[in-house]
Amino acid sequence: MVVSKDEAAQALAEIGQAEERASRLRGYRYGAPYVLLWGVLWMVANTAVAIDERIGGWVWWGGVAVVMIASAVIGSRQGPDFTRMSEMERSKYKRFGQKWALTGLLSWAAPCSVFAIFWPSSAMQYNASLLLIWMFVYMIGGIWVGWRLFWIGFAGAAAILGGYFLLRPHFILWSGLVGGGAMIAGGLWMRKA
Amino acid sequence: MDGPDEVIHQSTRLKITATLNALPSGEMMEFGRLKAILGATDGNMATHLGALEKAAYIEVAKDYVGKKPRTRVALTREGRRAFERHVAYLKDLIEGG
Repeated sequence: MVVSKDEAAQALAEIGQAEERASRLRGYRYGAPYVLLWGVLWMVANTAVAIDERIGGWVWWGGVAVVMIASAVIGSRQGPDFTRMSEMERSKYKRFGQKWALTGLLSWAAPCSVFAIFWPSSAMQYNASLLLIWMFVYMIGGIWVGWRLFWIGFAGAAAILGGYFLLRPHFILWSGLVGGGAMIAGGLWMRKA
Repeated sequence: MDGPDEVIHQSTRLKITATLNALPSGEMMEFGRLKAILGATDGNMATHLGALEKAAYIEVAKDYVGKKPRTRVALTREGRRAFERHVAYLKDLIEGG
């Protein structure tokens, strides 16, 4: 069998495309449950705040705890079979997991630190700014992971800004239904990829 | 320099192995998903997966999820090594080695 330089270049290009596509789709499939979970929390908790602010606050805190535990469970179930991996691969994935855990921690520490200085003056400001930060995290992540995540963040950010300035009296409900709905739809979209 | 791997070099098989190589060692991909990613037909996929399985480059696992049959495939350790050797060969060829 003889392979020319042109055929070799063509084959390497095909390999690169196939690997990139496989990694991107895997990322979507693995990320979808998290987007869905946070979308459901956003919808339920904000709707609860719109009905009763005090109860809604508790729904938020309880919901965050539930979603974080559920995320950890999903993460451990979705992980690869470590028993079939070489020692080098196991250590690579361990480092990968540690980096993700650190990313999650910093994603919460960043807005908490900002709020410690610029504490929002109302529940609406708190809600809008926290969710806006998250939507920009999605957009930034989407640039690297895949454009679907970017567009989910973009739609969410647009919904928050639009609702904040145009529908202020109903913002919390708007944020819950439209923002949460966009995330749920986005999660389903990612899962189908 | 090793020669090309004749089993892997065929275009569809090259894409199959590249796609499976992007997964971590312990992970399998469902047949339907692989087929959708490559845009191949059932018959085409079955032929090429058969050739790769015969060369012991992939393993095929069949089971049931509830009542639904499920077929999953993964690169074997040998398949992964063969793919890496083939990629190294292609790179050497381009660099004039």
